[in-house]
Amino acid sequence: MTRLHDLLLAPPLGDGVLQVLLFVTFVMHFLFVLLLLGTAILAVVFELRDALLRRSEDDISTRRIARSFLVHKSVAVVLGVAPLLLIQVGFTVPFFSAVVLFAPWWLSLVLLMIVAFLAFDFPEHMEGVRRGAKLALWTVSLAVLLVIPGVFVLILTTAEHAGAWPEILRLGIQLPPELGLHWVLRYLHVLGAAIVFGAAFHAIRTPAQEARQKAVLVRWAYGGLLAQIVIGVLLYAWLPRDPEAAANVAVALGVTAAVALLGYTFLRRAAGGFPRPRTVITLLALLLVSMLAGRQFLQNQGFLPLLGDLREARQERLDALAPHRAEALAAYGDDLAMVHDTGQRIYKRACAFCHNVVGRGDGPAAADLEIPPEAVGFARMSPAYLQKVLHEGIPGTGMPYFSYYDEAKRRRLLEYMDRTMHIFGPVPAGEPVAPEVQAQAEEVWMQTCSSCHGTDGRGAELSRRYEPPPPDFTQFVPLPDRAEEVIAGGYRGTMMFAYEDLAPDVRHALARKVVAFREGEVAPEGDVAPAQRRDRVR
Amino acid sequence: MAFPFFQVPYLGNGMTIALNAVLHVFLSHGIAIGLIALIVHAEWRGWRTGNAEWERYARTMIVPAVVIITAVGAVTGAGIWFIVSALAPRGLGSMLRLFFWPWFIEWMVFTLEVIVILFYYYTWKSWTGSRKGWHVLLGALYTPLGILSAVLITGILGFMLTSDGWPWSGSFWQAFLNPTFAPQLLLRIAICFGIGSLVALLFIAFGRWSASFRREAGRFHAAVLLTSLLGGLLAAFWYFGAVPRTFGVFAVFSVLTSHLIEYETLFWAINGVAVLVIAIAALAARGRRRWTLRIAAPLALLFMLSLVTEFERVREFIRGPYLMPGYMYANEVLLAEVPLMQQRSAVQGSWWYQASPAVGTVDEQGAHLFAQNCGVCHTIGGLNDITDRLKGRSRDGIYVLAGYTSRMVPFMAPFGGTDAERRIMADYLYRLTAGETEVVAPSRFLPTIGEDTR
Repeated sequence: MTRLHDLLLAPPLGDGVLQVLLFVTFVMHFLFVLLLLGTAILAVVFELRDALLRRSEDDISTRRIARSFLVHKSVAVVLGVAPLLLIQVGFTVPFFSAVVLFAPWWLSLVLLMIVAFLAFDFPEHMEGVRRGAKLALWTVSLAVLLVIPGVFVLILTTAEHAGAWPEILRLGIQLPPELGLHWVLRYLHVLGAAIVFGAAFHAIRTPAQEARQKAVLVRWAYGGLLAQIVIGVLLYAWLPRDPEAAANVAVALGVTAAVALLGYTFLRRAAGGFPRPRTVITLLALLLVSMLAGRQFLQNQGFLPLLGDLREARQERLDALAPHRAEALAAYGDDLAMVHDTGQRIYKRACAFCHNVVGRGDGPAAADLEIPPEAVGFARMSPAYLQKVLHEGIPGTGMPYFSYYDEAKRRRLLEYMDRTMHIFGPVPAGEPVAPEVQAQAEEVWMQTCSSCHGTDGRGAELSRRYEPPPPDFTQFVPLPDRAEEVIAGGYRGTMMFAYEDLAPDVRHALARKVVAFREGEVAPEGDVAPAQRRDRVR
Repeated sequence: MAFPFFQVPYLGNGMTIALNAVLHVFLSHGIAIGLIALIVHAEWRGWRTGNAEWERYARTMIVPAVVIITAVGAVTGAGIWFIVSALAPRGLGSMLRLFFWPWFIEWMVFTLEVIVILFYYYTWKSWTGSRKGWHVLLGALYTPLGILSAVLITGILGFMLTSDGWPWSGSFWQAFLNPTFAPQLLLRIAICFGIGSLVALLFIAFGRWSASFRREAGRFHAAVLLTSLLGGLLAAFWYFGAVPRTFGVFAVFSVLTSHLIEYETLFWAINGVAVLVIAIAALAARGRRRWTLRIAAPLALLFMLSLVTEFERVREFIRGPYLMPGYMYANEVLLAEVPLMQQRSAVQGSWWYQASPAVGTVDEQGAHLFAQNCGVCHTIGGLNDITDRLKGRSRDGIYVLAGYTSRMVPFMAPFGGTDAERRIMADYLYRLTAGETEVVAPSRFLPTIGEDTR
């Protein structure tokens, strides 16, 4: 099977430096994500409880809690740029693959964040918002905020398990059951961490004289820690792959810090006091750093083997492309120098591959077309007709529209074609024919030709629905020689059949008739460009 | 290909990126840089002159400004990143490798900006009296940081149109200090203060101020607006002079598109009117009658935002067919890969196609080839609908045209695939246009497959 390969531009950083930077920036970002989520959860729960119990707005100091949201979210967003940059640079293929697989969820993050942040900050910082409206907006904000970590966990879970990508595709872009369970537990673990860190942060910020509020927040942190231990055990027990030693050590350290914090808090509360901020911060920092280190080790178990394969395949790809690089650059240089604003350049680039450089209709691509390109160099037409064709194309054929060329460019194209092919010039009448031959031609026209071309050469009503329709001969006529060729041989792929049984002089007379439809533009014999008089089209 | 495909239904990928990016430009340029600088100026003026109205004026604007730029401005900026990650992963990934250090430095600058603005906001009420000067200084730190961010990002944006000698030399500095870097930077600075001054004028027009304050503040912001307008026009002239003509000739088309290309005169007239209305708003700001500013300022802001949108549209469109000129096409195929893909099968060479549960029907192959080659710009049934573009074309005609895209339409990439694959794609597109096959999942280009639909 074809191999996935890493991007072909070299990574800007060594793997070691990238790992360290990724870890440090992710810790900083994640801390503020936890604070922002924890702040939102606490603010909404306390405000809801106060509203239900009809307490005043400042009973639990939700204002102090809520005011910090703007700081947490602003710092969380800005700090999130760096780990995103680093993971996309270092683990490009797995991360972006996961993002594209779950693109609708990923794309929704932008709108979700805007809604969540505005819904929280607007009532908090703008005056005159009533309490009921504030609570409603905050509830919306929290509901939306809770989706966001779920999406990030989904992306990381998918990125770390490349082996599951075919299964994800087979299931119609869904996680397989074992990864689904992992995702749920990992998501809950993030929410639990948000409660722990949020509650601890606000408990530390609450002054000692607000003992009741402080106690509530400490209980939240404590309960969150207990829940985290349970969820963490389940998460670790149901990891999709066996963790390596480094991850085990990091997680063990984190668990130790968590248990130590639980014990310390329990003992301090039992003694009637509150945990000391410095101790709490130290243990939480150790907990965060060790757990996130464990997370990164586990992530590397998924990324690093894949990275090895990707880099090997990258070199193969580079080797395969090497012979083509110089040619591609040379062509690029030519394209940079090519300005599509003269008639000659536009014709040669956009028209000649079908119509041929002198308009013979047998350009290099013509053989692939069932309906051959028009021999424009062997026709006469009105500028209005050609403008219309350039604007609309010709239905049922390969002739496209060219309305991406503005009026000035199309005018220059027409001028070039007229200058080189005399397309707007007078139409030669062709050699005169005997009256009885002309009469025969008139009869053929009325009995046969007019059924498609109309009695006036503008096309019969019915034939206007053909694709392509016959041309309006008052606007477009082939030169007499060309017209005779078409009458005799037909126009391949169209309703114009071959009339080779007609006598040559009758065909000639019919050609003169066709040419005569071109209003007021018929010229005597001799007014034709020498090249066009000599050459037969086919 | 290296990544799976996703296309935003109806809107398509380009428009999705554009909607978010243009909103971000309005907020980052106009509010974060322009308006914040004017707020700091207002605070400074109130402090130096003792005029409480300047202080109140500044205070009135700072709250919504900070809420908007932190909730929407920063998020839409990160949003550009998020959106492009899903819609152009290979291109973004390549750009990140080339411009890692500017982006990493920009992150640090952005972090400092956020810290400064939050400090500035939260210390407004407490840093008063003798500390007011420090507060003003704190605010004054923000603008140069914002402009430094603009410097870093503009180098990257400029490269996407004028990669200069980088494709040959691989030189980072040639890529970053490219020909459109300097004029674009000046243009963006002009945009910052143009939008910022117009928003400030809205606060003057619709707020409760004394007549003398309105006149004084109006005159100042009018001067800022006029300077920005003039500077912006000069910078735009310089910018388009630096754009290679092969790109520049499609600038007007990029705005008018096929639907309105006949109205080029009207296009120039409307642009002229926009500049005039902005100039009139500046005059109205200097005048005595409040109602003239109440009419002119919102109109001028609308025209200013339209001009900015127009510039961004032109800049993004005319770089077609490239995403990284000289290296990668807009459909994320490398220039050097096209001849390789024309020799070897593009479908067989795609890991994602091989990994999908596709039954290998011709429709699936055609859909994959369309997604890979054309899906970056064309939707099925939405904006720039491919079935609209191909209406009336014959099957063989589509096959031929697909082989000459970049010659015929200079801003389109060439087809990457064998002749047989081009025929498969042409057949698929012909039947799609004729309604003979349907797309079950327009985001992932899945067609109907016999009786199995997904």
